[in-house]
Amino acid sequence: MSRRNITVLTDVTLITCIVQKGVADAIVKAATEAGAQGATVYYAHGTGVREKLGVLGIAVEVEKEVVNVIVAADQADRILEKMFLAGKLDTPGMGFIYTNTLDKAATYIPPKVLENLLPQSNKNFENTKKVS
Amino acid sequence: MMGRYKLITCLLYHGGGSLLLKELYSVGVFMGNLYHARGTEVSTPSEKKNLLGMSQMEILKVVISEELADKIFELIYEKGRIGEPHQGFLYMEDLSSCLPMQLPSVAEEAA
Repeated sequence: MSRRNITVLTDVTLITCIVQKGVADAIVKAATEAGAQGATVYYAHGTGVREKLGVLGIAVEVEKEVVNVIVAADQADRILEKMFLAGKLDTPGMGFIYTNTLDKAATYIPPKVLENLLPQSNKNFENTKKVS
Repeated sequence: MMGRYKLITCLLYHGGGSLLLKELYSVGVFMGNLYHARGTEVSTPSEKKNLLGMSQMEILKVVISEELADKIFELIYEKGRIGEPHQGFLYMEDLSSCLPMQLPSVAEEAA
């Protein structure tokens, strides 16, 4: 039976941003420019502020886009700030953004990156676990 | 019946989410949910992206008890081939509360 390794990443933060449809691409661009390695976007239907704004609420799109970005914990604040600004989230009805800390994460890590990082620090790479 | 629960999310760049979901059903994990998304990853080859640099992907979310969480995390990692390039990303987070879905057994239903 072959044995494979799982390298578990810790100190990872998930940033979730909910915006009106059509705004996500600008937010993804801002996040990747700020150092995020990737982003995921999906559609949703939202309610809340549209109803509270009364007549002005018609200007708020019902269809939403949800942007998920996974980043290192130490980069989270900076990337969140860039996403916030790109989405103009200080304007009422534009959307909101939040972060939550992940227990652990795993993905493909190129061997070269692993070789360089593992001996130096175990901060972001908790363990390399062997699984059958 | 409340206890400690975890949410495992798997981002699959090349689909296969429904097969993975079936695999989870076969080991008794029923609290799963699959939906589609578009995504971008810096290292994704450009031929797999659209004009906006995005590619189609699937998101699988599974709620699982804390005791089984690590085992299921490893199962998804293996079956979803997450350790291979451009396959996906897997993460787990804590849930503050959860009411688990319990399916009635066929015998109970008949009675």
